[in-house]
Amino acid sequence: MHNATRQAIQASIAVIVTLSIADAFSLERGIWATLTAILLVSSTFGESIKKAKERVSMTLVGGLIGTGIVLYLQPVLPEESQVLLATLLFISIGLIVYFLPRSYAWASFFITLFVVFLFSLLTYWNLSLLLVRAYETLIGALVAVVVSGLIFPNRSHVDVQAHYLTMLDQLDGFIDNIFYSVASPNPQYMCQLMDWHHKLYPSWEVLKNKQSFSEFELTFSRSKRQQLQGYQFGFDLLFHYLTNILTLLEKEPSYLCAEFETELAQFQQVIKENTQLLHDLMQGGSIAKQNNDIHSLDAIRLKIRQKIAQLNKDNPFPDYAEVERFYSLIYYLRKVNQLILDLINVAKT
Amino acid sequence: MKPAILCWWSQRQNALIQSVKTLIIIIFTWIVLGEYNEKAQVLGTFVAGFLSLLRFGRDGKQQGMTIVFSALGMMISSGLALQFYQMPWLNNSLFVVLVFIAFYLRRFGGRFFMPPLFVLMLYIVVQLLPRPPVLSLWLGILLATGIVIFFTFMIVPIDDRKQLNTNMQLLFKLSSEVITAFIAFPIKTENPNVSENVLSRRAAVSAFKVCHQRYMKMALQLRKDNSRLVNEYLFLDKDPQVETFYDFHYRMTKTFGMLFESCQQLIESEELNRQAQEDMLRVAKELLLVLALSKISHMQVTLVHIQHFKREYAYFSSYPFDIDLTKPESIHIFNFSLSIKRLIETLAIWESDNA
Repeated sequence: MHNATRQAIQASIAVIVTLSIADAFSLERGIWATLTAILLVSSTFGESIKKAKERVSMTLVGGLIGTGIVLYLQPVLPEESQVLLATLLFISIGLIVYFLPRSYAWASFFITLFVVFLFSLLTYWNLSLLLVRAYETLIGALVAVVVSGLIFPNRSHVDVQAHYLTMLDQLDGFIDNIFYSVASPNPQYMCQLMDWHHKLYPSWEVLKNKQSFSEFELTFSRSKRQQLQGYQFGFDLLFHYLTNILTLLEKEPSYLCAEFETELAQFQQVIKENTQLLHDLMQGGSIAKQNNDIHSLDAIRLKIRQKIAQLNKDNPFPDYAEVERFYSLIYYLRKVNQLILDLINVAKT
Repeated sequence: MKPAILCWWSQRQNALIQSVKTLIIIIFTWIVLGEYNEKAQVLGTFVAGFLSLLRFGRDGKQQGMTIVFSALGMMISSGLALQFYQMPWLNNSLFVVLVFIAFYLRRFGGRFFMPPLFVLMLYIVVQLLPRPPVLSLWLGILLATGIVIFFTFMIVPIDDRKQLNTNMQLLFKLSSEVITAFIAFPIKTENPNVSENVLSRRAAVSAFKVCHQRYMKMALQLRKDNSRLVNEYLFLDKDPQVETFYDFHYRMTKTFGMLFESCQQLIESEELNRQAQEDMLRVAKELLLVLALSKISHMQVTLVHIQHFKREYAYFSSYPFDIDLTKPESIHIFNFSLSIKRLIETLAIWESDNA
């Protein structure tokens, strides 16, 4: 189902529920609850929770401050209070516009101030209206969260987990493609490799979007939230290093890759095995088995450096252009493996 | 100006201009409608406020069309609200249908995200405020639309492309800061283990790390800001200049990231050869000059001093110093070199005969 259709169904149901509650309990200003419910139905369950928290808390804070100002100004400065309230109303409008694209919490705060000042200018505002505003906002927020969580829910943390697995599958394919290309750099492999430019970045963008609000769905599980943060950090860096490798291989790989075919095959094997381990762990595989199977690339890397130095000693390189490209490739491949090992540790927690 | 302040201003100037403009539009509409029709004054002013925020589209024409069509939607929704508010069941049913339509329209892209929501909000606002006759409200909406279009496109029109430009200037400034911290790293002396030298090296390493961390944080923020701009205002759609500049920003961010990573590894290393360090610092100084002297305006970069920088790098990449290929430092020296090479290749798209 298209996300817009899903949201349209959720918003319509939220409105029906809120209007029914307003009707059943004869809410004084049911439209406030309805409006809150509409505004809080978001693209994911996590986003709805985040916005609901911000909306309710900032409505309370804004309402208290606004009511305090109105109740202070009207008796103390009865003559000037209208002008002062109008000025504050305009300032609130300006600040709503300023914060709307940046911070929903602050926008909610100033929207409430705006409502308080507008009502006191057009009709009246008092503590009982503040109470009505507060509980109706709460009702709207609760309806929005419940509907987002129950009707065609889009739980981003589940989606994010699924996308991590997709990214690991992509990584597996990418690693194969890298090693085929460096072992036998023919145009077909190189072409396939460059295609990853169009796959990696969109995949990362999708992940970033899904990650945005997933933490809020895990509000009550600290350990899961920490694990998610660990994954977020690890996958961001992983993406960074993978694209660095891709950039490095935009030109034909160094001829040294052919000299080190065996070592590169070992690299490939280790990275793929670790990727598979991570994949299994993220799918809920057993931890006991994994402890013995983790591999680092440090020993192979040291062997490569010694072999290169020996080659240079036997027959000095005319320049270091090939060595620098080869060493950088090894560096980034090792970084990728190290990140996978770090992610394995996160998965074990 | 300091990058942090410049970044604050760059990211907020359009929001501040927009806030002030919305306020002026609201005040102006309030005064004009007060003269014309007091009954439509409050709602007409609400419409003006809503419409002033709906500047969505790749260019002025598209943005104007979004405002006009939103105004049309508001005329329909306010007409319906005024017609049915006395029939609660019909009113509520119609409202649910409108909510469904407003959200369903989002599937047609960024321009349909906010406008239908504001049309819907007007339906609610009409029921909350004193209600004028439908005809005077419509005339009020027409007047408000005219005022919004005038202020949006005739008075200090906001061009979000300028922000892409400022974000690139910021990236250059931030990178200059990190390079300056790298250059400030003391050259290895005859007695590297004398406590004074050890302390000054440690201080330089921590100063570099602070700059590097700030770069990583702010570069990511700038990248996010660029993505928000091109997505929100649909700039990438058939605009090759924006696409090139957006892509250039991304490539520069990544390349600087690679370069600074190698710089950090190098200054943390105890075994770095003195001559290698001196040669690297020379390249870094030339790069700093390129970043400081080059001009960025109208999504174009005019490079200055690039030939000196390239010459210094050509000398460095001939490796006129000893490298122990078994040591980890050799990898970081090669990474430094490759990052500089990539930087030169990325900058090459702006090279002209006079560069």
